[in-house]
Amino acid sequence: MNYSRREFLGLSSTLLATSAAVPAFLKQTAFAAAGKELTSDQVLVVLQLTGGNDGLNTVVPFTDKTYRRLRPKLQLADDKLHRLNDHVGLHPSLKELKSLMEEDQAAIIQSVGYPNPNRSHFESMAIWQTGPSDQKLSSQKSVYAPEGWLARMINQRATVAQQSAAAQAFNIGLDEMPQALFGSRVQVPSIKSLAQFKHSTGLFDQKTQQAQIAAWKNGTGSTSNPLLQAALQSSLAVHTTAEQIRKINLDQSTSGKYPENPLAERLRMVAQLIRAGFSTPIYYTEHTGFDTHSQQLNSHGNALSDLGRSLNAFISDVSKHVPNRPVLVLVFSEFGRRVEENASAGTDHGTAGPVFLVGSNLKSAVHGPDPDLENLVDGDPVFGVDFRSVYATILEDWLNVPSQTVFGQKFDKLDILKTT
Amino acid sequence: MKSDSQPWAPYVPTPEEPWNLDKVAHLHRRAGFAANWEELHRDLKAGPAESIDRLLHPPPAPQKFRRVADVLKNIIESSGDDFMTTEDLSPLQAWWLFRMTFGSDPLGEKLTLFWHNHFATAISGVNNLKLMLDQNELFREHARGKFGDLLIAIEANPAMLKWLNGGANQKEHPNENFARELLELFTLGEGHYSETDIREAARSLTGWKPGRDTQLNETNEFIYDETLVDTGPKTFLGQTGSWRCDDIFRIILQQPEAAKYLCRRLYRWFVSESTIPDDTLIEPLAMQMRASNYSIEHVVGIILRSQHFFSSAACWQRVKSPVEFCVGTIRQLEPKRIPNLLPLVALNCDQQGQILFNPPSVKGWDGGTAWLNSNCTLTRLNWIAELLNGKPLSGLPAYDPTHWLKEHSIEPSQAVNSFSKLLLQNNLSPESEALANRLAAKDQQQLRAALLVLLQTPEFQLA
Repeated sequence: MNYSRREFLGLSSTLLATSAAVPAFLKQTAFAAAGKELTSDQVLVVLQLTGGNDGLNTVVPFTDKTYRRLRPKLQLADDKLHRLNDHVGLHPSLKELKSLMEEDQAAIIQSVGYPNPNRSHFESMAIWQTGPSDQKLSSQKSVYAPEGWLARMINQRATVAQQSAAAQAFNIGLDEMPQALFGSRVQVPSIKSLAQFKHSTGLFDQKTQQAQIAAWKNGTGSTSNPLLQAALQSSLAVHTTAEQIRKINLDQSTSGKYPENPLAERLRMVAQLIRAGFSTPIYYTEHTGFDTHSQQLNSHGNALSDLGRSLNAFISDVSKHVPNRPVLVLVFSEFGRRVEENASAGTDHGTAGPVFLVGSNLKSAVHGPDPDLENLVDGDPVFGVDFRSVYATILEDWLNVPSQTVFGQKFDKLDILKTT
Repeated sequence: MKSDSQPWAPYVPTPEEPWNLDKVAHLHRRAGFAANWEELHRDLKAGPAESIDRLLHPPPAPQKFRRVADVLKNIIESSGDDFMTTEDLSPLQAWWLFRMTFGSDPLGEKLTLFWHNHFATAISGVNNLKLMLDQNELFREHARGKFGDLLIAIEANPAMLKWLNGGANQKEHPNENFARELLELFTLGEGHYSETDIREAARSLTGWKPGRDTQLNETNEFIYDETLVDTGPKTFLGQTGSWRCDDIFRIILQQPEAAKYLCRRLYRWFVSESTIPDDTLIEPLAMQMRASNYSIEHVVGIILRSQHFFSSAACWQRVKSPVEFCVGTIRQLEPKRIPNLLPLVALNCDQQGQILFNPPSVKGWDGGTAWLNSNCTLTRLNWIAELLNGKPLSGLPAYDPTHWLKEHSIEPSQAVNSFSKLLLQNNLSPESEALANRLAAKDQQQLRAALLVLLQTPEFQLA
C-alpha cells in the first residue's frame, strides 16, 4: 500500500523538531502546505552505461560499407536487426526497446559527443558528468568543473532549506557518488538497498538519536576540517533517509514483472520510491559491462538485452502505477567505440555514440545525424550533436530550469520532447 | 607546529608538540590498520624513531601466524583453473584481511593495498582466484621496493595481462588498453602524454600471447614470443628508437612528471585527502624519489618521519576506507576470534562498496569523501551494531567490553574514558563523550551502547 499525501503530512519528524538545520526529507505535500510547491512534477532518471557502449553495434548502420569492411567479425547480420528506418536498425537483443519506440515511448539521438574527444574512461565520464563550458572543455584540464551538471541544476532549483527538506536526487546503486551529483549543497543520499535502510540495526531509539545528533552538531559545528563536515552530513543523511524509508511498504508483488538482473533491481527501487510519493525529481543509476575490449559479441548482447528488458519493465511499472508523475529516462555512455574492431574480437575506446530517451512525451524517432564513417578522425566518427544540447533540452523542457546558468553558455535545444 | 619551511624535515618531539597518544594512533592509522591498546602504549614509550623503524623494518611474523596464513592460501590455490567471479572471493579476501588484522607487517599490507588500488585489477575481468592471489603476492613482494621493478613485474603479470588485454595486443592490431592506463593512471597522469604516445607504447609492449590447452582454449598462462614483437621504430614521448617494453618504462621514469605523479598518490594515501598538495610539498619528495631511483621505502620513510606528517595538515585529514574501518575496529576492540569473523568483515566491506580484488574500475576506489555517502555510512553503522550486539545467525557472539577491560587491567569506572582514548584519543567532542558516559552510567550492560555512540561519531569515520 502506498502512503497518501495526507498520511505523509501526518508523519511528524522528531529529527526535524530537534533542529531546523537537520536535513529531513519532507514530502511534496509539506511544500504544498508551505506554498512552495515545486515547479515540476517531472522525474528524470539518468542511466549511465559504464565502460563505453559500442554505439555502432547498438544502432547498427546496416547499409554502410565501411561498417561491414572494418568489422569483419563483429558486424551484425541485417536480417536479425530491428529496423528503425532504411539504413539503421537496433541490435537483435533490443527487441523491447524497439517496442517502446513503436509505442512512442522511446527516442534515439545519434552521434552525441563533444569537440576534441577524450578517449579516457575517466576523463570522458567526467566531461559527461560535469558538462563543462566550451572554455573549460578546451583547456584539457583534468578538473573540468567543480560540480556536476545535476548538482548545479539542483542548487539552482532548490534552496538549502528545500534541499534539506526533500531529497532532490538519489544515487541508486552506484558504490560511489557520481560526479554529476557532486556539489549539491545538501548531500544526495546513496541507496543500494531499501531493505537495508528499513531494517537498520545500527540506529538508536529516537530519543538517543536526537541527543546523538545534537552532540555531533555541537562537536563539528565549528570545525575547519572539510572531511569532518562531510562525515557529519553523511551521518545526518542516513538518519533522515532511514526515517523516511522505514515508512515505505516494500511489498514488490504489485510492481509487475522485472527481469532478474542488477539494473532491473535498481530501476525497481526507483519505481518504489516514486510510487511511495517521494517528491525527488532526479534518480541516478548505472548499468555496467560495456568496456568490451575483447570477445564482445556475447557480452555486449547480454548487456543490451538486460538494458532493454529492464527499461521496458520499469516504464510499464511507472506508467501504470504513477501516471501523474511523468518519467523520462536519459541513457548515455562516456563514449562509443572504435569503428575498426581489434584483433581480439573487441573494440577499443572511441568517440560519439547514440543517446536513448525513454518515457512518455517523446517524439519517437531517430534524431541527429547518423555517424559519418567515410570521414573518420583518428579512426572515429566526428560528433554531430553536442551532449550539452541534450542536457539543455531536458533542463528547460522537462525540468523547467534555465540551462544557460547551469552551463555558462547557451546550447541549441533539440526537438525531441512533445510540448505538453 | 611551526610550519613549514621544511615540511619533510623529521618530526622531533618538543614541549609544544610532545609525542603523545594522538600521534602514536595517527601513525598506526596511516602506516597500518590502527593500533590496539598494547601497541599504543608500547610505542608511546618507545618514541617516534623506534616506532617508525619498527613499521619500516618489521620483525618476522610468528610461526603460528604463518601457518594459518599458509593454510588459508592453500585453500585458494586448490581452486586451480576454475572460472571464478565476485561470488567466490570470500576465501581470498579473508586471507588478505587475516594478514592485515593479525600480521606483523602492517605497513607492508597497507602498501600492498596501495598498489592494489594503484594497479587496480578486478576478478570480474580475470575470473581466477589463483591469478588474483599471485598478483597480490607480487604487490607484497615489491611493496617497499623500486617502482621501476614493480612496473616491469606488473606488465608481465598474468592477472594484468588478462585484465587489460595484454595478450591481445598484437603488432597487426595493437590493443591499447594497457598502454593507455599505464600512462594515464599508473605513471604520468592525464595531460602528460598524447594519443600517439599511447599507440606507440602499445606497439612497444607487443609480444605476449595467451597459452592454449589441447582444445585450443585460452589458458591462464601467457607466453612471451619474440617473433610477435613489433620491432619497428617508434616515437614515444619525444624519443625515437626501436623501443621495447623496458625502454618504455625507462623513458617514462625519466619524465619529472612520473615522480611527481607517484608522490601525489602517496601523499593522498599517507598524508591527506582534504587538499591537493602544491608543488612546494611535492617537488622535494619527487626529487628524493628520482635520487633514490624510485625507492618506495625511501620516500615513504621520509613521509612517515616528517613534521608535516604529524601536523594538523595531516591528522584526521583522511576518511577511513571500508577496509581500514572494519579491520581497524577489530584490531582495536579485540573481539573473540571466531572462525567466520574475517569472512564477515569481507562481506561488510563489499556492502560498503570496497570489494577487495574487485575494484570498480582500473582507476581503483576514489576514496576520501566518496566513502561518506549514505549507503556506506549506514552499512558501517550496521556493522558496528553487529560486532557489538552479536549476530546469532552468523554465529557472531555479542562483544564483551568487560573482558577487554580485564585483559588490560582497567577499572570499570575508567571504561568510557579508556575506550575513547583507544578509539579517538582527544578527538571526541565533549558532548558525545557526555552522551556515552550518560548511557554507560545506567548500568554495565549499557557499556555497549556507549561504545556504539563512540563508533558512530563523525570523528570516528576519519583516519
